[in-house]
Amino acid sequence: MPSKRSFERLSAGALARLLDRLGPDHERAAAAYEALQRTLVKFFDWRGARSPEECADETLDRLARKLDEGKPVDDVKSFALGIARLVLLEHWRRPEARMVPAEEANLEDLAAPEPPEDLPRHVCLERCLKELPREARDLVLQYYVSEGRSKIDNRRRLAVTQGLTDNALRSRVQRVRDRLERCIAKCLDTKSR
Amino acid sequence: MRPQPDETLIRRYLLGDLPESEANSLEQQYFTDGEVFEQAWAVENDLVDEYVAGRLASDDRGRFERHYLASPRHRERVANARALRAAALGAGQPPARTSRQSSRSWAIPGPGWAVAAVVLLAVVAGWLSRSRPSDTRQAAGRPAETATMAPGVDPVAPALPPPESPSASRARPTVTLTFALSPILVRGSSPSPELRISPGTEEILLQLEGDGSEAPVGRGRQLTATVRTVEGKPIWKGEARVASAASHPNRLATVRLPAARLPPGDYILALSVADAPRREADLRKYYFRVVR
Repeated sequence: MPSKRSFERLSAGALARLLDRLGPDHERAAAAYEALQRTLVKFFDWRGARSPEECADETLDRLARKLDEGKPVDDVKSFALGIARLVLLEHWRRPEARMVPAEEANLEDLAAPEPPEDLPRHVCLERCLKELPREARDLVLQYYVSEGRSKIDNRRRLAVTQGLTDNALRSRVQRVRDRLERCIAKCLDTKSR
Repeated sequence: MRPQPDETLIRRYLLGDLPESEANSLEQQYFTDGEVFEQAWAVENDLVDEYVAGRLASDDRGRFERHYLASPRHRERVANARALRAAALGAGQPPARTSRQSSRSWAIPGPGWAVAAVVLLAVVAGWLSRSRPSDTRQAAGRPAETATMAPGVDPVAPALPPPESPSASRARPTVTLTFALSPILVRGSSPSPELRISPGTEEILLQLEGDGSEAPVGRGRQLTATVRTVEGKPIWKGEARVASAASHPNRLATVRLPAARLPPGDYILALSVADAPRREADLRKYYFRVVR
């Protein structure tokens, strides 16, 4: 569903027009909105933007307004990508958007085979794993339980027992992992205060 | 319908190694095709996991560090991946890779390894003295590597045979598998062993390694072992037998528990001592994974 921020920034009409273009009914439109938002966040993330969620929200805001203004748009997703590229360019012009180059970042901890004990993160991960539904928790742990050659066999076996295709399993695990990452970020943020 | 892009192309995109026109084309694809988007996301996770596992080729590793890790968010993602990997694997290389690890070994220092090496030598010596078929897959430096055998190979290599002393390959009333566990001194610094329980196993004998001098002495000071899942669900609780410090200086205790109580999963065994009525103090914790 559109974020609270979207609701606050957009007029009801603009949002309704956007959802109309995304799906024939409320349920499908909401799912399509979520998918578009996820894609935009990843686009900005993969392009190295510092605040992908904000950039994605900005893109959706502009998209909704353009549609509300009556701009003729054939393909909403392609149009969204065009807006996203513009938002990205504007983002890079801002001084605070500068990334810390890898040389300046302390990569030793990440690259070392056994980095220093990252206790708060482990604690947060355990907590976040406990918050997951058991099925999701077991799924994500079993998915990453093996490596190398046995990884593929293990995942295929897991897909079969779950009644999923390999791709569907992968998608499901990605979402659980994404949820974990957000939970850990929130937990670490709480701990650092 | 356009064919899905090659994964190599997606990797190059994520590593910042794709010309802009090709990057734009890929973006157009994953914006309009949900399958391509899922594929790109999966490739990203694979890249991160490979980096964390030390399996990226050196060129890709360089690009990954220069480009992908330039983003603080991506650095967080890598740290999370490392933590998740540790949770899923027990922070170590999986047993199947151990024997191939020789030239790429991430040496894991720490007192746990010294203890584990001594234990392993003792286990192998005891095993050889019992004229069991040799199993050279117990890689040095891996705690409880007795548990990590090829399928169909009996994982038992007991240094201290149980009283009824059956091996799993012989028909006896109680089939017991024995595993040695080293304590995790710092979470994430030592690998959690994998206990491969073969069908028909009735009992698990766990030899809990540690400084034998920590074992309690004195009347009434009993050792208790509690097994929980990593999520905290209690599985089993029972007595832990104190090991003889003279004959087993590197062993704290042994625990026998029914194999049926351990379905596949990750567990924590907490060894505690009752130092007062209805009060227990933790001595050591041991992480392990059960595989069937």
